[in-house]
Amino acid sequence: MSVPAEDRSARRIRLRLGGLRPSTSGVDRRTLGALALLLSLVQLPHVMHLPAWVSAAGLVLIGSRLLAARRPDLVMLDRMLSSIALTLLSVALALCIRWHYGYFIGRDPAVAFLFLLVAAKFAELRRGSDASTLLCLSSFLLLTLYFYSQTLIAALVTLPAVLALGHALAVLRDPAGAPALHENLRLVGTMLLQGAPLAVLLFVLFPRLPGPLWSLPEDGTATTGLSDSMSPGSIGSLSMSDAVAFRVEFDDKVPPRAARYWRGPVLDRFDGSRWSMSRSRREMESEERPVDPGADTLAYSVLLEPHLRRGLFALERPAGLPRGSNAAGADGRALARLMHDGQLIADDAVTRVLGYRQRSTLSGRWPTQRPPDASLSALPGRNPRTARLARQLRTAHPDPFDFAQAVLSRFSSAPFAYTLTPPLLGDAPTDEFLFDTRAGFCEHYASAFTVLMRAAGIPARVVTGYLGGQMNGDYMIVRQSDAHAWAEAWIEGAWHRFDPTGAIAPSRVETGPAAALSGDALLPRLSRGEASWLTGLALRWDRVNHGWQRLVVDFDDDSQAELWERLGLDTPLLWQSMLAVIVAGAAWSGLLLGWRPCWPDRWRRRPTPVVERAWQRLEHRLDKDGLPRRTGETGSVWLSRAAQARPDQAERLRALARRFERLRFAATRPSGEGDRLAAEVRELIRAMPRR
Amino acid sequence: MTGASERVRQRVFRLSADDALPLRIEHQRIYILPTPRGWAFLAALLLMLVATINYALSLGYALCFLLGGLFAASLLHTYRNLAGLEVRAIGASDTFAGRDAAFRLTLSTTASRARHGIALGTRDRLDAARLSLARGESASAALPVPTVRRGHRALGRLTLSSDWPLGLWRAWSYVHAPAHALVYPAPEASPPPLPQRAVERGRGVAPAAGEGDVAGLRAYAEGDRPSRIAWSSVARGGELQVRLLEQAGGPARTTLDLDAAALSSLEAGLSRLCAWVDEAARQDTSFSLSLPGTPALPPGRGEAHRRKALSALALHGIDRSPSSTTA
Repeated sequence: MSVPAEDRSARRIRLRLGGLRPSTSGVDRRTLGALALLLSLVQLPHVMHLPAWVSAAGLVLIGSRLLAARRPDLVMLDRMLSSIALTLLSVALALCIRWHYGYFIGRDPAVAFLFLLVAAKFAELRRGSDASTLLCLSSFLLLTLYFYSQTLIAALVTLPAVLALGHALAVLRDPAGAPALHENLRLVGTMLLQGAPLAVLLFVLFPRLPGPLWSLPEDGTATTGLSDSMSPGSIGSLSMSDAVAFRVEFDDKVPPRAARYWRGPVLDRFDGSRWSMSRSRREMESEERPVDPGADTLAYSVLLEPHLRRGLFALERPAGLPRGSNAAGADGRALARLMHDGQLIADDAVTRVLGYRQRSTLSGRWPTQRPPDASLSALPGRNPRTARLARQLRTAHPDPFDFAQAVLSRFSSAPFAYTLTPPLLGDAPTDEFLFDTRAGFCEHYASAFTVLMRAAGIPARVVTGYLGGQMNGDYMIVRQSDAHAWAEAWIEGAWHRFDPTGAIAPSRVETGPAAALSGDALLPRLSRGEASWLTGLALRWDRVNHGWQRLVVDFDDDSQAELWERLGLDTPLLWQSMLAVIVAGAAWSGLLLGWRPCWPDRWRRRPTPVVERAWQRLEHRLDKDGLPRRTGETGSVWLSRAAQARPDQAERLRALARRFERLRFAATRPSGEGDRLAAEVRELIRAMPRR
Repeated sequence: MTGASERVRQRVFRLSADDALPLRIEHQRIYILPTPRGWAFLAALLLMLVATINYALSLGYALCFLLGGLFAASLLHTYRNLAGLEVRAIGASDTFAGRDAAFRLTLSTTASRARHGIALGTRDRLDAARLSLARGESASAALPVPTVRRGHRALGRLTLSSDWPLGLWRAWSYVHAPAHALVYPAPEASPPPLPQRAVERGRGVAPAAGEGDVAGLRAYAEGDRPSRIAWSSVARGGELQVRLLEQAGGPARTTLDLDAAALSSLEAGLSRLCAWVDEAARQDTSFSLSLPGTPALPPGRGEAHRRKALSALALHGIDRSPSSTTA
């Protein structure tokens, strides 16, 4: 056994470099290729939400492993991909993730770490057991994609990854002998289809839990949608997005556009520049929930997109608590509490699409017995000019309604402007806004109005939420660009809604943000209200997604209960579900293994040979024409008799008689002869006019 | 009671060789369990399900159950890969003790189903050979089985297994059919030359010393060694012919027996005789063999004669029926 000189020197170099065994050995190219395909399909969708450096690090790890496999002469690279080096690297990456997110035990850092772990495992891949670990980790990583998106797209993105997983399994089983990619994919696809009925059954039957088993520390600092505080003038431009906040289906009638105030966070603490929610919050007591027989009440279902906060949205004035969206009766679980300020607050942050049923009273007036806290009139003295204006106006208009009206008319008469790109404001934002810049959007007006009310001694607060919504077929889409802020003031034992934005830009209330802004390019396409083919396409796609959400994503314990009810069944107990799955599984296996039920012999129909069937058909037809076959008459005699009776078909009948005879008594039948004969009989029957 | 438990043991483990060939592998002799990778995959699925439940991910349920369905479907495919396979025949070729006995296993499949990656194993080597069959095809594989002592070598219990298609499940089946290879004694490594005194009508020259001149040609018969073929006459277009050698004055003959071996141990003596038989066959020397307790083998030459002699050596002192076997 002689080792080539080059190999020997290479080995000596490797040994000298720390005694590590070559890391790229042990795994062949096909395995590496199949796993690389799997990883790329699993990891790529995650790039959308991961920090860029995490994606880049993953890419570098995978790329270096592939390079090492292609270039075994790069000894340094080989050495870097040893398990010791990669363990150290993983620890370092974990620290980086901790530094980036500020915490480690949580959903987002865990997903980022898993992403890097999968890449690192691929880089040090050596044995079959490494590959097993890698497959399990990638399956899990595939699942974590649903933390971020459960749309139809996310589901479709998963399918190729599942196929690649099957392919990788098949290649790992026997790297040398495994069939080509397309054959493997066909096999795995077949198996997936075969397993699909079982999967669907489990999906429907598997009992869903109403709440989580454990909760991790609050995840998600990046939120879309409304925040819990508001500082007018701190941002130079309002970034708006087409993202859907929630979708609504109304039970019968749809509220008019000007009444579509969706109530969200109520901000009643003000420090001079920033509005926030008060800390001392309590549930609304029953006497504060007025019974208002004259008011219009609407019932509707909401599908709320995850916004990682606890607030739920309801139209105008919630009349009751939100319940599970699919429960047939009103007995569904209450999903949130109604707070004293009229806000709906859930126990946990909304991290997945949440469906609920809600009833609302359409009225801008909210009577309440209990007078508001003194804190709702509190005002830090940072805006002296505003306070002076309020005092002047209040002496002119002692009646609170007159006062509010005076403020609103001031907004509409003075040179105030509505824009999404207002100038930045300094230390006394309300003063600066009211007297200097005089340009802003809903936040500015709502804030200034509330400050003026408070300065005049009238309790007031800012309400944020959404205004508007676009009908798409039978449901309404409310987008992030519909976000809005307005004010509420407590006058004569009731909270009254005032929308100062309506005073300056009435069209914002009437038709939406697009109308209020002439040619403001900041507004995203779908919020502009233009009717183009692109908008139409987008709306159609949204409809598909809405159906997907309702049918699949929102399938929870309530949906299960509703399904059973619709089928007229009680909700099955756990053992009943399990029994059903076992029985179905057994039947499924039997079917796939090719076991057919054993019918008794008399149930089984033997196929009549084609020639006999044709003969019977001809007999039947001629019998109807008054030419029945006599007892004991042979076929040829009978047919020649028929030929005399029907001279128009004589030639055909005689020819048929000869052929029948030949076929009946021939030792062998030429293939297809029976079928040809049967076709001729059919043609003859068609050609003979009925008598 | 013992009989019943014996039957169950036989049915489950197939410890004694009473399967008759050809044999179709039916469901009652197929076992199936997840492979280590299968267990790992299952554990990952359960973990995914727990995460799904906690975060109430509807698509998570869908993914878990889809992969679960794949896992279940691969069980059936693995099972079907083995079910209905037919073990048609097992052949064996003789060997010398210490070398591998080569068993030859022929499998066939039905016209409707192809078989992939069927691993064949014995007690000694779990993955001795692999076979794949196209639809309706039959194929055979060689199973080397190590031997230690002369006598009969039973193949023992065969394990047919497969983890096709995904390597998540392994199905296996035991087949224990009577199959034996004859094991000759291990030939002595460097034996003394063929016994001198036994050379009859010779002139005292050991035939082992060298080959004489060509005495003539005769027609080739099966079993003749290739080195004896007169290739020059073949090259001229003639028929296959074998050179007859002039061996120092005439055809040599020798008698082989344990006395000639002159060794105290029986096995060592048989090993020497075995080496001599081979040597005699190599030199094309006619020899006779006599062993105590068995009728002597009359003088003869050729491959058939050699085999007869080797068989006699292999089975000396051993019950002739294969049921008393040695490993």
